[in-house]
Amino acid sequence: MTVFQISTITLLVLSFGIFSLSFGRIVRIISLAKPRNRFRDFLKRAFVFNEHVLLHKKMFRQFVPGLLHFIIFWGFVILTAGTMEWMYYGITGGQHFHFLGHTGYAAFSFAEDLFNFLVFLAVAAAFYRRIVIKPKRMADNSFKSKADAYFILSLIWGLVITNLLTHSISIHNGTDEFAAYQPIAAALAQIWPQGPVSENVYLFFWWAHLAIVLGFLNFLPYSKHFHVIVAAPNVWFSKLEPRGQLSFPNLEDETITKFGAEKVNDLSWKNLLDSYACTECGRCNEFCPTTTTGKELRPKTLMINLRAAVTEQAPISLALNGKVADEAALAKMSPEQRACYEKELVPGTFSDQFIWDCTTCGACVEACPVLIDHVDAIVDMRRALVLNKGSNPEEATTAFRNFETVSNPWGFNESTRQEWLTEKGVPHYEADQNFEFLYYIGCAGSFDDRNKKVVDSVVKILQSANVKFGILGKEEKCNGETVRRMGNEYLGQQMMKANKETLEKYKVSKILTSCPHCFNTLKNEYPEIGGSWEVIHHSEYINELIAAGRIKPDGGKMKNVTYHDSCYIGRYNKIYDEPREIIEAVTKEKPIEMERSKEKGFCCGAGGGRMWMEEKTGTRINVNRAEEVIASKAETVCVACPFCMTMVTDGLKSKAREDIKVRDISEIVAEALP
Amino acid sequence: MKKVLILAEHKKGSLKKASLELTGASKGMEVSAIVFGSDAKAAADDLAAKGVQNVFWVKDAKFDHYHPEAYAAAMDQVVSQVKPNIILGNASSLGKDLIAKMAARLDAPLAADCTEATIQPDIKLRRPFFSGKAVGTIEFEPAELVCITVRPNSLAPGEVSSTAGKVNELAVNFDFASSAVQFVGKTEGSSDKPDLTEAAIIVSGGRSMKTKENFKILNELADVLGAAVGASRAAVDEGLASHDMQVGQTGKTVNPKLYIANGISGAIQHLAGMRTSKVIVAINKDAAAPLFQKADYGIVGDLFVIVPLLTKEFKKLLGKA
Amino acid sequence: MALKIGVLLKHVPDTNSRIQLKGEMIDETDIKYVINPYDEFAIEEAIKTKDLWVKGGEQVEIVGICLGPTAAQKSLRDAFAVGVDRGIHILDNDKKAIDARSVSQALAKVCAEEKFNLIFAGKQAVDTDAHAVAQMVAERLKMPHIAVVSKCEWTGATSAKVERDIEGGMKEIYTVKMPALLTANKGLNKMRLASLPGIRAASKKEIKEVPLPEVKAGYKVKGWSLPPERGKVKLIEGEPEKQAAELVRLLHEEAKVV
Repeated sequence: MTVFQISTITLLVLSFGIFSLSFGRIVRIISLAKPRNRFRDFLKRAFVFNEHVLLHKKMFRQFVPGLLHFIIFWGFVILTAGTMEWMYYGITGGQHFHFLGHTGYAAFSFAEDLFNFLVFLAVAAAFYRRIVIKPKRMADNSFKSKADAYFILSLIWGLVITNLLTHSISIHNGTDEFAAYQPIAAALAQIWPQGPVSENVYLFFWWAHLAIVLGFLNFLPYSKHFHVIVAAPNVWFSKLEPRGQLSFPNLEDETITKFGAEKVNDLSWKNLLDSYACTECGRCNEFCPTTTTGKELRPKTLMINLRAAVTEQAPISLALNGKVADEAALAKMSPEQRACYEKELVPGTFSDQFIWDCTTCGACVEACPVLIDHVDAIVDMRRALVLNKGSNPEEATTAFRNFETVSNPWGFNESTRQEWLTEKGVPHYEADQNFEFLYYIGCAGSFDDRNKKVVDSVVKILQSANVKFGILGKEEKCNGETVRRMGNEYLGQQMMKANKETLEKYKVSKILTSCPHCFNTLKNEYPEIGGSWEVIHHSEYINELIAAGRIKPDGGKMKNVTYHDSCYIGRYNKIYDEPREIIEAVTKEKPIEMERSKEKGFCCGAGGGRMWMEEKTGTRINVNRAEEVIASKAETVCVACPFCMTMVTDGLKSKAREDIKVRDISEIVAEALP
Repeated sequence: MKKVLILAEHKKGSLKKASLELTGASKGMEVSAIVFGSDAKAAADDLAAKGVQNVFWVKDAKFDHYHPEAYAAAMDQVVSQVKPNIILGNASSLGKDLIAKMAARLDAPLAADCTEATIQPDIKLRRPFFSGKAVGTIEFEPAELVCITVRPNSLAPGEVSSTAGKVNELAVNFDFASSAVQFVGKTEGSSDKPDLTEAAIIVSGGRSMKTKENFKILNELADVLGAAVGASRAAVDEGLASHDMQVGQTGKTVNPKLYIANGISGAIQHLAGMRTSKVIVAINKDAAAPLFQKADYGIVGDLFVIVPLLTKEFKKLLGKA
Repeated sequence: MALKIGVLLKHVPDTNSRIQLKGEMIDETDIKYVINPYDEFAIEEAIKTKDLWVKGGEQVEIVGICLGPTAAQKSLRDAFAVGVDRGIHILDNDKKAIDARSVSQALAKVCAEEKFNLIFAGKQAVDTDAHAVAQMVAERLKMPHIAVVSKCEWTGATSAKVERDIEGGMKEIYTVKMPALLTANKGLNKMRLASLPGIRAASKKEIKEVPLPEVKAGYKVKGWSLPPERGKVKLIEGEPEKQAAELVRLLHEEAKVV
């Protein structure tokens, strides 16, 4: 064995040894966290992995950075094979992967050469983007984060440059029989002076390359670029349930006495993995309504601070081996350790404002290329506040009280729910009378005069298509969507159960809703407690009626209509096209699209219970949206959600643009009916 | 003939109008009255002039401020002297508290906060229940003595008789020093306006107020009416009013007898906070404003013209011009 | 020595309830009952006071006392959920105690047995709105009271400085020595919502049910009437001067609110 071989092996053993210690430590930290079952459904996970890791689906929404990352990612995969050969070369004292056969090794050499070049270019472009273009989404990154990024980019550059240079020397010296398959390295070989390049120069670049590889490896666990290692597993273990489905914690088990995420050690291993997978690209912030309007909550900050909290607490968690500290363990801690162990996520890591700002619109979740679940983490922290401490913004108390006593947010008397519809002669749903579906009106349509008009339009449409439907009248209850997103899981579960009982009593098998929040929860969350029925939103159903020719709107009288996507039918349930098709049927033209639409739709500001809380910081979300509506030059903005209706209307009023009409999509159809 | 003892109140010496409603209700009866405070001479004289036969004036300056035990001791002395059949007071801060205390001390029936009250020849009382959502007719169980408080502005002011009575200075045996309660002081309200949630009348402004300064016209109207000033969420969001003035879902829930909404469209968030107001007035340029559907009275017009005119008219009505 | 705080609670119709008549009586079908809202401030103040005293090394117990039908136990349970320690339910299914006199008699009797160091109550119940029961209980117990308190600050082990709200936004300030009774106004504190552990613990706390003592009612309600439902809006037309004058006239003469 040569000195060269021994040196290589020693270096490799040391590097991988150190790496496995630091990597293993993080794996242990993650594995000690609270359980979450993300192991079943291999095929579905493989599919998601393919889509989001191998194909970079979300990354390509921003084409240039997407492509750069795609090249660097695949470069990494290919070059890792190259690196293995590198190590093989060192261990064996000069052997190549020639066992691949001539063709195989030729292809291998070509791929390595090509990706060395592509990655070189991609890294150069990335430097250019960061230094010259300065993308806004990364502008707020800390100095450490930026330094980290430049360092990593430099390392990658170093990797490909040393790789190319090493190969170019072999080619120059005529010792590489596969030179023909390495056009880039071959071209580069021209730079060397006449005559053979000294072996020491070759070895310098050879060792430099290996050192960079191993340095890179050992730097990762201490960097946000640990992303490189955990992003793929994070995608693999991502949530497969409908995105609009909150977890359904067991509140009946009396042995559980703490709920939600109160402290770091209440977080699930997936929350931790999320925080390690985040590389602070800031896509989550871009369409985030609170970030955009200058509020404290920024989803990227959520992940960064979560990771910091996890890191801070790691030594204690590891020492406790994931167990809850008993008195003896507490006594052994230093005051600082104890303070750290007992620190609560709110207010220790995040302020109340931060956690309560969220509208649960899901723009961050939608944007995140590695499928991080910000909203679920926030709701879990809200649960801890509400369930463990009875702590919530003051205005939320009013809403909770009203939901609890009269099952609607405004405090209207329950017995007057849908009185106006009953008086109009809309029949009560009965199991045995061949109703096509139950029309679940929701609180807004039951009580709010503006939204009653929307329901009225839907009723008119249904009647003109001769659809037989019924309502629940005062037996309908709020379905619990809002209070659950406000962290009041206990009240929410009670409401869900009560409502489910009524729906089952009438053997409901199909439900039409007008409110996207009712829609999402009935469709995606009630199955968790055994609710089994089909749910459709009126935008889907009206579109079906038009397509089937059962209603014939007299189109073309209305022009210049834009559509404001509701988060809960849009992003959460992918109903993007139906409302647009309805608009097209009525206007005979495509709707005007605002910049922030569909997946990038901008929340009205009312989701996640924000409707019942004050927006005290930053600028107003609905005004921000109204400005976009105004800029679109639309004469009418269509909505499909009672909350959006209120918020967008108020936003336009605030800009003194009451001339722009706000209409539910059902209203423009009803108006166009003969 | 039934004997009445009136708990009279004054403000800086002048008898309150509400007390005159009590003398009016006791017309022709045998009436005594008690009034507290070293500065109450004019009020005591006024009561005597209104035909109250025996006015007991607690002149001692220690009684210038309300002290439940001390005032009750004074009442005790008067009760044992005049042996009334009815103790009558206003449903004011003082009356509600002191007469309740006396009712317990004397174990007498109490009908508090009556809005309709006749005490002769028979006692006929009606009082609101459930924040005014129902009104009940009260019938006392047979008793030697009953206690009644009447909401101000419920009865016509008047005199007991044209024959003037006399004022007696009342010395009260009460040991302030050994009492568990000590009066420390009194704050003048941070504003002279009542608290929004407790106000009987609210004048409220919406986005159409346009500027913070414009709220001045609402303040002027409120001052005349003794009302509180509120605002809609839109007005607060636009920075026209402070958040503690906000009425609605995420602000305060109010329940006044009169709510005057100026330039407020009447979205559900606002209705959630004020829909139980007894009488709602909507003033708005926009005839389509939904609040008109919920209001009792409406004026479609420019609030900047209407509100100052209202202030002028109310001044005339309330004799404050 | 252990300290005992009493809280007087009433089970009342939620203020959102629609009050309707069924024959001569109040129709209770659609009425939802809750803890009297002002009593919630009393509960919160009791809990805050307890926390303060416990920090000072005292043993403190909060006892909720509620007079009402069987269903009224819900209000005691709700009070338990936020931190009241145990309850006494004076059972009155026959509605014998219906006015301030009879209710205060019954409450005072129970309070006398408990020998409270401090009693909190709401300033009024939102059903009968008498604004009297708590003061009457205090008087029957020969306990000093301050009503309509919006600020309570403990200045010593047994004495507090309290502010009482009176007309015109003014406040009267007193010092009070225990034992005493204080009635709570809005603004005294921010009430808390029950935590889930609190809700669970509530079902295990003790409610002692006691029969209604001998009481004498002061009055009965002989017939109810409801205010007229809000009709259609009366729009006032004409020149602004005329409109303003007419509105003032209507508010004064027709609506009688000014």
